[in-house]
Amino acid sequence: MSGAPAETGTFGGPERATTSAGRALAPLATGIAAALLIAALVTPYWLFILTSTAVLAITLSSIVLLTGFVGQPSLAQMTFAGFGAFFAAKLLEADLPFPLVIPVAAVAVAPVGVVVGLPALRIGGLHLALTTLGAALFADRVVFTWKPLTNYPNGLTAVRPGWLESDVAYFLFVAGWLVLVLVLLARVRHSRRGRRWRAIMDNERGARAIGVDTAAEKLTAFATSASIAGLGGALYAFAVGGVNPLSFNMFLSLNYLAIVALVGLPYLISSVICATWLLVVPEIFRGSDAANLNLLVVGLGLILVIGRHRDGVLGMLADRLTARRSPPDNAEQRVGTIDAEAR
Amino acid sequence: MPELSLVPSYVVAGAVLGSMYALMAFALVLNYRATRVINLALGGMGAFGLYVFARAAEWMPRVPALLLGMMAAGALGAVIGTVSDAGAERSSALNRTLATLGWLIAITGVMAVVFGSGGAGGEMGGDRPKAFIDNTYAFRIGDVNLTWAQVAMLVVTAVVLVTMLVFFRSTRLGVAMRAVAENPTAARILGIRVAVVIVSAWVLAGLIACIAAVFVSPFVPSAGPTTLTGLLIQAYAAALIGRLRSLWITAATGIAIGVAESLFISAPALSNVPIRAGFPFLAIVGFLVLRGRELGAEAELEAA
Repeated sequence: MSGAPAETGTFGGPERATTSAGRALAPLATGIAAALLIAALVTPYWLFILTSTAVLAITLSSIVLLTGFVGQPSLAQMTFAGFGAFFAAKLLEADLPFPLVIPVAAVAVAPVGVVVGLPALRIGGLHLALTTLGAALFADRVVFTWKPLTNYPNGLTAVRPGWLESDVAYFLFVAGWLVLVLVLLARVRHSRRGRRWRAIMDNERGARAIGVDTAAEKLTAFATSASIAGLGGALYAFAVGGVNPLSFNMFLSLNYLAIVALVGLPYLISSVICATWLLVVPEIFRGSDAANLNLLVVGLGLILVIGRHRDGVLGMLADRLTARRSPPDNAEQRVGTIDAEAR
Repeated sequence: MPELSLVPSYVVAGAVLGSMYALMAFALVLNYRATRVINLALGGMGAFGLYVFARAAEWMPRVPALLLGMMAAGALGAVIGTVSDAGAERSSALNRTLATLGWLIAITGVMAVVFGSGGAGGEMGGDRPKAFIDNTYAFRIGDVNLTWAQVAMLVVTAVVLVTMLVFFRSTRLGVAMRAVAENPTAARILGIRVAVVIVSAWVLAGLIACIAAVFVSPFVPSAGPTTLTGLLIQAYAAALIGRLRSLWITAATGIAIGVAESLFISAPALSNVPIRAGFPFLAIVGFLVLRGRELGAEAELEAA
């Protein structure tokens, strides 16, 4: 299963201890080994499904970063992915060498993230989410229908170079990116920047009071998250051989945020669980009625779980596990710790 | 700008669409004041009422059919309000808003089973639902030809606005609703049954959503949950600029957004400028950046 790379221990809950440099290597190695094993074992059809799953997991991890780590909800994540896909296709058209295409496309989405994130300097929470939805709708209607960028309505092609042509090679390529993104995000969470982000999420005024530049941090988070989503979009374009202007509509962003919130926004592994749930599970039940129930289960889960628990299903499980061991953590004490560590 | 002689008709067409935004925005304000969520299921609730109306209208007169549709949407609102209110204090406003998305998914799924599905988009199959009032020529004012459906939309919006203003000023339930919105704890101490008031607000939102869906259906290609949810963004913008409080400002903004959209989309001089369809959203973002701090402060207070 594509879940393997992330089930290696570093991607646990928000309260884990600091990682050392060496600890990043173990999950990296495990992830790559798991990807190699999968590539050797599954049929080409499943390889394509798992490639798509890994691509989606990258995009969903951008939601975990922005909303789970920094507390800034965004409903424009698929819009960022769309920009990444179109930028990648355009860069390829402009004869940029392939190894540069994907990273450059991803980085090029960062300014888009900053623009969409600007309202976050004034508003937060629910209203921020709905403002980004407005931006996403704007992109749907205006940017992605703009012929010079997207060749609307036909879209653009994105053909992989010879060395990545085989499905196995591309799966390994995507899996490598996924592992890299997850390892980097896990490390960011426990870095000074990650703690500043956590401070903003827990208590924005408190964070400002201890000298965190909340505006810069929020825009950095939006830029990083947009780049990761854009990376997912670029990888998606090369997975399916092209990019369609209608593939990135705002309803997808809404559904994806909801599903990640259902599983657990603060948990990096949510991205892999959700991608698996969305792409692998329906394939397993393909042809039976159970495939249609997938979305309904998500709907019921949303109704019954996240209206009642901030951190979703994983948060509920974590609460069950830690309830016996330790008292609930003390917000004041936590801010104090961040203060000390952020300096 | 479009040809000058056509401007009045575009203004009217925009005002009609804007009335739809205003109606949905009223319902959003009710939901927000009661439960502090943006109700993403509103389009689903409205579509549900519309389809119940359309089925009922096949074998009964239109007026009782509309009442039946409104009752169905109101009952749905009662269920959603009751479930959403339970355990709400352990979650965040964002999560509870996403939970209303769960309701939208569930409503869409149930409607696909009950009314037949035209595909994954959640739109219903078969013929378009029967209209309460047909979109046929009514009369002419100056250069503008009005249809009955347009007149009905404008009149209904005005009636709903006035009814709500009277309701909040002069009825026990309306005043209790305002009290709960301002301070639930104080309201409870004063003997107001807060849970009942909250559910009532959701029922009202359901009724209004149903009215909005029924009267907008002649103007949109299909009035399923997905289409109506797509119109929710503009409604939200209107509600937001009314600071999720003032019904007058909400109504005026909703209509203004509709008119602006209509003028921008129809203007030949701008037809090659891709910005035209997105102008209203730029306006919203601009408003938030200029005036958002106020809202932000309010939201922070509410989050606490």
